[in-house]
Amino acid sequence: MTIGEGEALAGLMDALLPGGAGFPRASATGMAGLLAARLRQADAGVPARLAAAVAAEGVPADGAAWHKAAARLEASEPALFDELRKYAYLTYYEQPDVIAAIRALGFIYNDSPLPAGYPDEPFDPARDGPCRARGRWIATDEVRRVDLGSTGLEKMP
Amino acid sequence: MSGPDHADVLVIGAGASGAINSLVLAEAGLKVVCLDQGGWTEPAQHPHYSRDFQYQRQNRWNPEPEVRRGADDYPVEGGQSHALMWNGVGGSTNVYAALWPRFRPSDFRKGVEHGLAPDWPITYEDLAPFYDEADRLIGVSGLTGDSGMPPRAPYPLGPLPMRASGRAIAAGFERLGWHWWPMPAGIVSENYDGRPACNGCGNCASGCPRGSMAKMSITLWPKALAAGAELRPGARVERIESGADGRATGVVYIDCPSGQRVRQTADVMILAANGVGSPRLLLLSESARHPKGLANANDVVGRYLMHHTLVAAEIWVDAPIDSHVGNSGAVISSEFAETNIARGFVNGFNFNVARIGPAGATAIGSFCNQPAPWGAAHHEWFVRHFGHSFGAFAIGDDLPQAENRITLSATEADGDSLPAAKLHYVPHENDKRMMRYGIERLRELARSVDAFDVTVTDYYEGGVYRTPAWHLLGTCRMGADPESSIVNRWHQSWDVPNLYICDGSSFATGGVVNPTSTVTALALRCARHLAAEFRELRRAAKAA
Repeated sequence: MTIGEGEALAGLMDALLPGGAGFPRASATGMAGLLAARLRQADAGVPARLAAAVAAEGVPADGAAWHKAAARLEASEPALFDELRKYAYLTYYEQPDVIAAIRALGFIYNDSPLPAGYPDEPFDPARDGPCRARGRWIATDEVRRVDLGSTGLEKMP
Repeated sequence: MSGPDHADVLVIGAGASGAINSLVLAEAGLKVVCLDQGGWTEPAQHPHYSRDFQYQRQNRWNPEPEVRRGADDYPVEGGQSHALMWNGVGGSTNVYAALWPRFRPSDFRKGVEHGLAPDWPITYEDLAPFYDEADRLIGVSGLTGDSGMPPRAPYPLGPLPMRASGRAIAAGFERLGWHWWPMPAGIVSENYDGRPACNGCGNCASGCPRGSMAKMSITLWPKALAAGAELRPGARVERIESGADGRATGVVYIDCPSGQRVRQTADVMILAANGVGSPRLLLLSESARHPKGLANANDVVGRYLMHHTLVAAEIWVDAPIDSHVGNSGAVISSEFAETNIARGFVNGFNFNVARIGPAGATAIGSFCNQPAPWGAAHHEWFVRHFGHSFGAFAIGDDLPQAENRITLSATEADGDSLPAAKLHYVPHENDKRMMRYGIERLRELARSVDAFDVTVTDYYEGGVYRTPAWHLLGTCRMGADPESSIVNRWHQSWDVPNLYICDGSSFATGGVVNPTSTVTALALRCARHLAAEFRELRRAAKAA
């Protein structure tokens, strides 16, 4: 049983990010090609290894089967799964539709950090400063020897 | 081989210390040449203007050379810590957070306090005027009046905005009755010295292409060049040469664009290549007269590596606090900074409380290496968690140990076949106790803000402490005794009197704070001393 690298990657990324709570499923964002390129850049063999791992148990037929395939991958090849998950998450959260979903939660969220940034009100000592003086420091000529006897540290190299 | 060109002062490394030394000494009228193996990073090369900025942080903007593997980098073999390093103009200020707290007076007196670490040969009072001067040069923002620290000159700029996240964090410390203070930052809160005020873009970790953060290639190097310093990027130093009189004569470097070897001589040399690069270069400079490496008759070069102890927590609260915006450092707490032997360990730690970052970083769990769940639960998790979190580091003063060290790799090399650095680091039992104590305090902090979720990490992976403590300290340490240190109170090598070593490697202990404020203060002090003493140093060199 074989499966194409693209098909395997699409199925797995939708298993990881199936959509919901106002967010699209991964494949609906058009991120598959970019994710594949990034995985190849990290390690040229990753897409093929993912496809082989999926095909080992038969080609998944539906979403539930893809979920099981992803779970098997996580258990059997955790490092490979971690790589897939990291790049899938990073790629997903830079997609325009996903950024729109974040904004729909009520956040101001730019496509990129600059140029706009996120200006805010200046520091206001009355509102933003500590309410009372705390903390202590030891002056240079007031540093004293501590007794290490109870710690056992003196005997350590 | 071409050359030699001769300089009054040759600086190796164009990072924070190299920039300041070059600036001050060029302003003093000396001919200064600075070499750096890397190049300039232009503002447009930073990832801040791209949607893939979080992805770039994982590779070409990764702070670790072992991951980044850029042409300007050299490998750091060992796998025991995540060394933060940028090889290029500006050095690691291209990828740091510009948190700007100072050492405490007791940090310089650990020999007196417990004897498991040495005293510095200088005091806080020796360094305080240079901290103040460096703050003005860097453009440090902060709030004066911290009763947990010695009195100081006013900050040149007021604090950065606290934002909802900072206020939520502060509320937790207030409930606990613990010290807290707005985090001082080398980031300008108002327009300053031709630099625009920070606009809170939230991506400090990949440098600052606007120059709001003190990135030395933008903020200091133009001044140093205007003062007459000559900077040669793409100049990878192969070895420091020395004469029969024991003095350094100059260097041989590889001009990376042409591949040609060039000899550069100088009366005085300043090595400022960071806590890994400086010992590496000294070890690479071994010769028949210096069989253990230059300036290393006592076999201390590379030893006593410190990173700081580090444990961390990501803490989620019910209220949305926009944790993806603003500069990374929000609040500092020195509640546990001083030694209290009743805790079972010496030294102490600070809390650095940070904003977490954007959506991708939240999902991959970059703060504590604990990713969000996948599958149907992912999106509900994200809606509940994103924008609701802050991160807290407990950053502590690790004990310097001779076995924690930089050596030369026997198997790995850089692009010019120079042996790579090899790093060995294992925390002391004292450090482990401090980290365990710190984790419990982090959990207390989480409870104080009624966190609905918290993840904690001690950075152990497979039984190995793989700290992302980042800081590279102590490997050419300053001291009062030529037997146990590499440089004296003025950063002058005990063995090679016209060689100065001035960077994180000069630290005798690490303190409980991010080191760059102290690196810059030490660099200013070193440069002022050299400027005043240069004629005498040159006369002595010619007489020798």
